[in-house]
Amino acid sequence: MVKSLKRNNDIVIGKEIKECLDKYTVNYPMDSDRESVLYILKGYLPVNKRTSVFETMAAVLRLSLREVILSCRFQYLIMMLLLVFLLTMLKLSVSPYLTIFFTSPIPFFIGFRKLFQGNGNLMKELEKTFRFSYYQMLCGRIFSLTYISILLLFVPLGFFVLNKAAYESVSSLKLIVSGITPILVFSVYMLYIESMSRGENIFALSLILWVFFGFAAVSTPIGDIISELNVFVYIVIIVLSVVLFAINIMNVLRLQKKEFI
Amino acid sequence: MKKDKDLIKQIKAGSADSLEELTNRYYDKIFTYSYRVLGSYHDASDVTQDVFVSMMKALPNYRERNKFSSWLFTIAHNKCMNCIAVRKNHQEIDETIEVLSSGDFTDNYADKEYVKNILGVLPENQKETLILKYYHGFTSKEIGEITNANTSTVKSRLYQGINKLRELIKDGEKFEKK
Repeated sequence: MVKSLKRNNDIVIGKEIKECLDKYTVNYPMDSDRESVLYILKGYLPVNKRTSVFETMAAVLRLSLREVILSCRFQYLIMMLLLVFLLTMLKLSVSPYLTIFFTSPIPFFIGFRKLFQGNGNLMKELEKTFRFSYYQMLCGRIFSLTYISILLLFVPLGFFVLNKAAYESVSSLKLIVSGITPILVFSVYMLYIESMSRGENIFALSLILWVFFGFAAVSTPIGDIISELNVFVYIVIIVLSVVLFAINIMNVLRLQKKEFI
Repeated sequence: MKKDKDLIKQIKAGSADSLEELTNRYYDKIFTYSYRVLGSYHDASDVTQDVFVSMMKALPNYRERNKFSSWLFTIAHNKCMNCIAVRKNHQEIDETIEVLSSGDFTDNYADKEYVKNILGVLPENQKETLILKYYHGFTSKEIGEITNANTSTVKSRLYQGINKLRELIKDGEKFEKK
């Protein structure tokens, strides 16, 4: 006979009822059901906020570098082929230092135009995802453009070094520093300008001024002054630019750390 | 084995492994509970998914006042009640005890159907209280927390449910003898 007993202030189910209820077995759900639920649940997991500021910056740099390469690879290829063709065929009378000085920032300009002017909406959309701030993306992109421009500098540099016979008195070190200097100056300049007046078309004005300066250098004694500048002066400008760039990067990291706190 | 509260902490921090462990720990329990309350594989499967999605949505605000299992079963209870209410609105319930008198209780399936049907005769609150008590081992106090009832009401439901079940079993035996 089934009995419901009150024991330890709680109801105990009798033996015969237990025997009856034990018959109500349930087949376990299918693994595929469980897997699909797990897949859905993973979408609700909070994003891990414990990534360090350095990891975030590394991610921004990786993204920017890939973006620069993918967006500008054809332009860079054409530009380098054209430059080598001009240097080979036209036998320029302009000093190699001046040639390197004025052509080295061109990849930076091309990339800047492509990323900041052409894809302005894309940058705003990426910013809206809150993954990276505008300032982080700006730093990342300018850093990547600088890096690529310095790498591409080795194309005309290689041309001058390989044509030792034609350019006997040319110093490789001076060629390198006179190429790197305008790239770094422009990257720091654009970093400050873009972070202060976002969306303004200062880039076009800067480019016009640079072309004007180039023509002026070729046709006036300014060109000779640039060509004859001491390597030490170039190195000082490079160091200053690197310090200013580093200050900007540190600002980004400090701001990000505050956000984490 | 990690404690529930440790797993929850890790899930809140974004750990997919902990989510998997916690889900695997409770998935079958919630499914079997839902199945026994609703009596349908399809509904139980849907409700189980709903329970875990609701758990994920509510987890950021979850404070450990009661046992995690009680909290999860509370969600399951609410989902099952919603499902039953929707069914009633659509008049899809056609639970009968005719199987009781069909006489074929020889194999496991028939046994299962037999118990499913006699449980289906009980009022929802008595049936659910009995399921939580017998199949999931919750105390009357915990069942009260899950079903939002006080302990004495839970005990009363249990008592009445068991008595009714006993009568149904007796009736079933009578049918068998005939």
